[in-house]
Amino acid sequence: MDRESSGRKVGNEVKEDRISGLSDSILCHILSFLPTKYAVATSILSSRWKLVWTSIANFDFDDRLCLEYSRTEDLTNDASTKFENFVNRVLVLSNSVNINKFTLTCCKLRYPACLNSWLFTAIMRNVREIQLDLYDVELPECLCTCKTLEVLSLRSIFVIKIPSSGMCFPSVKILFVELLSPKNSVTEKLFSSCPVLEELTIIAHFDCHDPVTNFLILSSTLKTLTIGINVQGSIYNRHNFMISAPNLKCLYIQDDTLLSYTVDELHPSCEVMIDIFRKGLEYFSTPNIQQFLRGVGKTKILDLSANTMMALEIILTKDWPTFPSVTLLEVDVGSSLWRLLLVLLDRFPNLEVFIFQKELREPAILEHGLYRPLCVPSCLLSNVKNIEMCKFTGEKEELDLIEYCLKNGEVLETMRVVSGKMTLQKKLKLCQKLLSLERGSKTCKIEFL
Amino acid sequence: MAIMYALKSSDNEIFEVEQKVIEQSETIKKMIEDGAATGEIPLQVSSKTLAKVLEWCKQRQHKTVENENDDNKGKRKKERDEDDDIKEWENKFSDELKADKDVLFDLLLASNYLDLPALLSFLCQLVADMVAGKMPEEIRRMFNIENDFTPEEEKAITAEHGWAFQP
Repeated sequence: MDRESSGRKVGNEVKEDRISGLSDSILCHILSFLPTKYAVATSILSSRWKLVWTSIANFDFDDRLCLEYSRTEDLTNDASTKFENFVNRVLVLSNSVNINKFTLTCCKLRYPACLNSWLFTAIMRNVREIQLDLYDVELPECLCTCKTLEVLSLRSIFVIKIPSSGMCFPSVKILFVELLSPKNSVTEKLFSSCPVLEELTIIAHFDCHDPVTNFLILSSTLKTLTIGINVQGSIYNRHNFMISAPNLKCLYIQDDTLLSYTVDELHPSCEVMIDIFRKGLEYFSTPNIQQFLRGVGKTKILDLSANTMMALEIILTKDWPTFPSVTLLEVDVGSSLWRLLLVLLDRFPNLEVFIFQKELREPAILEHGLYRPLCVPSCLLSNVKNIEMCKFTGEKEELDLIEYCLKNGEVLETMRVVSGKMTLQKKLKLCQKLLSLERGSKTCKIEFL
Repeated sequence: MAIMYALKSSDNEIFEVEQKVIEQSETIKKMIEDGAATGEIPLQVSSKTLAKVLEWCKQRQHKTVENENDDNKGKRKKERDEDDDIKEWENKFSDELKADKDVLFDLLLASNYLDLPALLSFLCQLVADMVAGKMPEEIRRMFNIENDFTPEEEKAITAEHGWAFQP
């Protein structure tokens, strides 16, 4: 099968050309990972390579891959024409029956009709995945009705006319959209029109002067929803999310404002991750946040980033709602919250798994030490089975917390401590220390990694 | 106890491997399912290459096993850390292959023959990264490709796909 190199590299002997000996299918596989410009350029290497590229099934056209782009802001008309001619020729010469993936990145199209004809070619060849990064285009209807398309990524200002049937992208399972100041005509309709959509990612950039934007996501097939909102300027625009996706398994929200989210009917096993930056704090409104938390709090799995914890702590202070459904809580804890961890635990009466990780940026605050509430959090006494602490460094406040949990965790099964980078010596010492701590549960194991 | 299989390389070296590890290879999996895998499984792969293949398979295996075991427990954070570890391992693996292209091509052929799609894609991506953006002369030198075109033929190809050859 393979030819070993032994005895071949003697003296000044000419080395063997092994790459050209690979089969067409492997060479095509290699070329499929290249921008099409480079794939086509391999035709000049030797006669063996002249036609290999014509069988590639992945196309990636990117007009930034030439010098003229960096010299001027936009492509010159001449360069633009050359690029369009290139794409046209490649699509004509390529002889792959099926197109797997079609990617187009283009700052300016001189003839919008080009886009329609390229997409039409891809669709005629049963394209499975399309990725478009364009500026100001209208998407052709053939794209909306394409039956083979399963993965679609749109990073562009685009106009889309949802077909009159109300159904768009009939086979798309994975949809990624990045929108600049999106219009309600898109955000209110598109996400609820895809009949088999399973994974949706929405990245939206707003300008502070943008009008109120409503996102409507009604889908019974959706499993993963990721939302990322960026707002430019100092004033926040308003945007509302209305989510009704009863089969959602994972909801991930990154939004500085969390202005208005109405979340309906989450499946109990849905996992919710929230990450917000602090800079949006002044725009939070306590009732909105509480409404949102009540909506997502019906799930069993909640993951909150350090920034989120900090923001929520500042907004809600003592008004943390209770989360009776949550059984798995994963939090990144900043230093100011560390001492309040036990208070927080009290809000999760049915918690079974508690995972936390320290994010220490202002260690000075730790001088306050761990705040121990008068009553042991009830979940610790009767429900928490697994605790995991990540990035353990062996500091006193960490040991204090572990000691407290071990002592009071009466049904604890596993205490898992994952250490950060430290010397073996220190590790051994800490391990001995951990094992010597009193345990409230006779069957509790301590895992130290 | 995990089920073990004995793989025999083309130079008659025996490798004892767990079933789960080698079943990533569709070729071997089929042999096992067809009952053709009693005793040693002879493979048209040298011991040096096979060792490298198994190194890859074991690394992949660790990931899948760990993920299976603890369904939701701390998965996300651990996954992130794990991904970092795998990245680091893969980078080291890639660097070795880039330094010795003979091993790289032996491995490419082996992954194709053993039907290991993940490894094949990984290696194809690696070669593609080595080629991307390079001038034809650089690519030829890198892989010892002999240019058998006449200057006229070369000119014709450049003219045909003009934009592809613009820097």
